[in-house]
Amino acid sequence: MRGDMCDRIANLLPEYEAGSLSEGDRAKVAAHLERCDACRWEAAALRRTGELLSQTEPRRPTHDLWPGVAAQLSERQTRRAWRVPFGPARRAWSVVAAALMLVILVAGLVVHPPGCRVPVAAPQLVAAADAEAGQYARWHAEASMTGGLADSCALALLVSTGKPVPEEPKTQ
Amino acid sequence: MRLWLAAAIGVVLGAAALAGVYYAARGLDRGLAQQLLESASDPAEQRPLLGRGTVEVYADGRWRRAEADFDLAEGVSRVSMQEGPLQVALLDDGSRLWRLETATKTAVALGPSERSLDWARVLSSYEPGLGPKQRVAGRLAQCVTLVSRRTRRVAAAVWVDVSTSQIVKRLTYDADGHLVAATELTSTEATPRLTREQLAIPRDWRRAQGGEDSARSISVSAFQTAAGFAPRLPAHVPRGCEFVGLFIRTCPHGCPYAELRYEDGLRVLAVYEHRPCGRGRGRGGCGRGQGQGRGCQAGTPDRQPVLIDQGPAKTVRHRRADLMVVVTGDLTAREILDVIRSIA
Repeated sequence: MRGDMCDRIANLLPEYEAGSLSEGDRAKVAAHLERCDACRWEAAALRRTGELLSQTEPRRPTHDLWPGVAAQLSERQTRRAWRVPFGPARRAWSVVAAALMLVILVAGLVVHPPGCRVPVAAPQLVAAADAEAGQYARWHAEASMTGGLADSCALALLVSTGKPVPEEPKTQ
Repeated sequence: MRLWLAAAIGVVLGAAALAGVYYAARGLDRGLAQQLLESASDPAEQRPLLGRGTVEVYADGRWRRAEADFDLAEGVSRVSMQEGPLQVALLDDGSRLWRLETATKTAVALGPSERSLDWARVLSSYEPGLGPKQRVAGRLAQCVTLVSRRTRRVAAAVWVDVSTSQIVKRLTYDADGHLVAATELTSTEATPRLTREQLAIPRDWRRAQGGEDSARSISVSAFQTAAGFAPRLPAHVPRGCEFVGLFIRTCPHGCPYAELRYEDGLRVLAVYEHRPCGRGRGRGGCGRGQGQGRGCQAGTPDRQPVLIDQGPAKTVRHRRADLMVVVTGDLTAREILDVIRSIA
């Protein structure tokens, strides 16, 4: 009667017949075959099948199948790529790219904090001719001339009109 | 999961490192820029430099350009400018800035030397930084920029000659980022022998006080006594502007004007206020006789503030029924309107 042991041995029989089992498994299978007629019969059947197969000539395909197989594989890979976009390598690069973008964003926020360049609509200022405008500009230039780092030469040019100094000279 | 965690930690560390490097570099830049500007103001650091160049300023809707001779010595400088028939000479003797009037042999004092610089005030409103090294008039010069903290724009850029610590180029920008003044040496003379004595005011020249009516700040009550009206202070001025004082100005016809002066360390914001006084009527006056000007007289009130001049600073006027208010300053249009509208 076939038991669990026979089922396990049956799974190992193809490799046993092919000679690819490890020493331990091989000894175990051999010991079981000595005791079990059913398994020995199955092993003999497998051996005969193998012998029979080895005698037959491999049948060659009538035409080259590889292009069709390759096309199917390629199509499957493409579909797989769409379905699972983050393969291990791509996932790593994506993380690196995301990290870089975040660093750039943070750096941008540090260098130019938000709110510094908020565009505001320029209010309407109506340019108007005014004979006194030059006077205010000159007064302002006079007041600005002695400020630190002021371009006193440009301001002096702005103040100068070629007219004599109106104020009274006062000896110090 | 572990990959994402590693990435997140990497991002945080990277950002922190980047911010650290940025602030360290900025601090270094600021320190070097400040040191350069201080050396450019320190007579002990300066070496003589003679040169020719140009001075340009944008005013009345056009550029004015003058050829200039620069005599720069240790702590003293003289610049002689020629714009067509107009000649202007400036002398900075290290303590005062003078305008030299050759025709009358008079030196007119304009104010304290530009070399006196209040760094604390400048740094409160401007961020110094290093620009590129460039050749100006064939000399290697380091560019230093001052960026306004308020507008985030470059307000001024100066080039300091590496070997003489003299300023060989200046560019001034308005609050909108437009270039409004440029002074630049175009050629220099190597190793000149220039002494302070050579640049001193000749002994036989007269010395005069220029702008005497605006030299000293006065109190509101003193102004009211002199001018007959009390000035109104603006309720709002841009960040960084500090009140300097109240000055009295008089127009060529003797009309008193209040000048409320504010400074941000580099630029001046001036508020001029004036009561119509009726003087200056006719063609020779500052009133109706000259085009649309009504400076000293009552005119039709302005419905809204109007821009009447745009040069290195904008000038906006708001004529009201009882008071004319004019604000002149290097501000954006919105800022200057906010100031003038805050005057009750």
